[in-house]
Amino acid sequence: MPARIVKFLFSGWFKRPDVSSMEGLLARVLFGAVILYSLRRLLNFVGEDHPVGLLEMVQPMGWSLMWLTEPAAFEVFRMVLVGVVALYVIGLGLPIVLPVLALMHILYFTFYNSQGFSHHGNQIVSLTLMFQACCAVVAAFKSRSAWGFPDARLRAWILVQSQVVIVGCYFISVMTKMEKSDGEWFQNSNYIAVDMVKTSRQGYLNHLDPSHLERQKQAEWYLERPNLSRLLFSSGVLLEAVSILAIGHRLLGFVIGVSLVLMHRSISALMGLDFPYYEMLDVIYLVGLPFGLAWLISKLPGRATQWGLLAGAAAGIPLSYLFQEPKMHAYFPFPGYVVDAVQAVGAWESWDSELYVPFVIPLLTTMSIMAVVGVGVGLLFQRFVKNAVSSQS
Amino acid sequence: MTATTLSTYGKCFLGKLRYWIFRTPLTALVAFTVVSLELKEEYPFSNFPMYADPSPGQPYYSITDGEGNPIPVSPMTGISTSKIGKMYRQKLKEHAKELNVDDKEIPQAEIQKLAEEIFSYLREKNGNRPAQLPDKLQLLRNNIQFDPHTGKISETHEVLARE
Repeated sequence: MPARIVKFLFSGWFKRPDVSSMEGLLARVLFGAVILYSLRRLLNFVGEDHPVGLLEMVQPMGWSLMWLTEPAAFEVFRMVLVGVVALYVIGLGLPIVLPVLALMHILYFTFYNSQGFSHHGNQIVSLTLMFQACCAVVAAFKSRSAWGFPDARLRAWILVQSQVVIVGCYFISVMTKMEKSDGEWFQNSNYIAVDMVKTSRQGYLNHLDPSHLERQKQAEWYLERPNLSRLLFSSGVLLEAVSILAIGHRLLGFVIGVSLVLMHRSISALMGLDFPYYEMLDVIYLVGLPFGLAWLISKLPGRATQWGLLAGAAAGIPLSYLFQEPKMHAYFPFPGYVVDAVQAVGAWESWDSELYVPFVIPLLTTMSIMAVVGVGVGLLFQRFVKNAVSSQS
Repeated sequence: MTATTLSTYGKCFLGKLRYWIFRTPLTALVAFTVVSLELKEEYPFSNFPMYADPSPGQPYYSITDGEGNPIPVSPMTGISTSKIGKMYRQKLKEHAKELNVDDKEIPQAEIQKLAEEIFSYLREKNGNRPAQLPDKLQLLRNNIQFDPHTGKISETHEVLARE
């Protein structure tokens, strides 16, 4: 029995998962939206005095990333980005498209992290792109077919290596915790509540908003119960450590992915610290939202209805503009609205925001209705057009 | 889909090792972990040091006006209190490396210089925003201390530099 449990837990590492072309497409659509959303803002930094990564290497040669602060240059950057993301979503030319995307993402956030304050929420997206790029480049060396639509082998490796990056980020943080605390992290984990006090103070000082100070009462509650606090805070780190079992394993990926999202939501509630890109990538590559959606779509009768659903949902994006409130037309004028629709991803961070609720609901409702219309058109196509063609032949 | 199985590589130790290295994602995971821990903060790599050493004492840094009153620094500059602390610590670390001393041994005059760089950065970021920064700024080091014996939390404030 224990041998069977061990085999079950580690089985994901020893088999290549089946990734259908529909799952691959949906994963690229969702990750493409995350990429566009993460690179949406013009950076208005006034210098790059603390270069890291690539910038540290090229700055002595006179290179700079200050051009990212210029509106005209950023406009071109965004236009190129939209084009490259479109190719990525379609799945064409991945051995060149993915390295370009990875480089653009890395440059943008290298500049962001070269201000003297490092942020740890964006690396996961850059690294996932980098690992996906490696998969596509290696595949191109092995076969010319890698330049066309990704085959089953490439789709599987892109999924597995994306999972390696995601769980790797959690695993590395566990290693760092053990190293920096001299192995005493679990014993001292109750003092995370002191960090809660610190973040509540910092939150207050950002806007002088007293609501942030209420978290101190929660922190005091945890400090009064050190063993319960150790149990609670340690469970998160244990989850991060065992997340490596999610690699290549659909069921464990789902269970661990959902648990990680819940962990992030708990951290957000307790400390006010959000890591939305971690949550988004957990949902795409560990929980397996594209896998679930592709499974549901595969239950539709015939390929015409399946593609009808996708085409309908896509057509719903520009059509939803008609149902947006006038104030949204001012925020996102047409035709740029089609690309700006990716702002809906922000609902993940601020669902109750005044900006997103009136914006996201018309968008998703129109997409859903149009998806149903697309299925209907697909059914009609199968019934009449296909029958007519087959009866003629 | 068919996958290359262990039997392809043979069941001897070397065969198993080759299978683990070339056919499982563990090689990528181990390489990624080692490179990240080694490089630390070299974007896109990071060792993700958040909350890595929990302790009963936690310092944080803040900006006040000349009289020591807190100001809403985030809407005024787009820079949060936590980022100001990270900037100060980064500058302190880099400067200590330049002077070849421990960052606790940096003289007050040098700390004043580092703080002035931060004040100047914040003023540039403040630019033409509707809410203007006050004429004088102070950089404070605050320390939250939890006493496990009494169960009390105390806080001390130290002015590191004045504009």
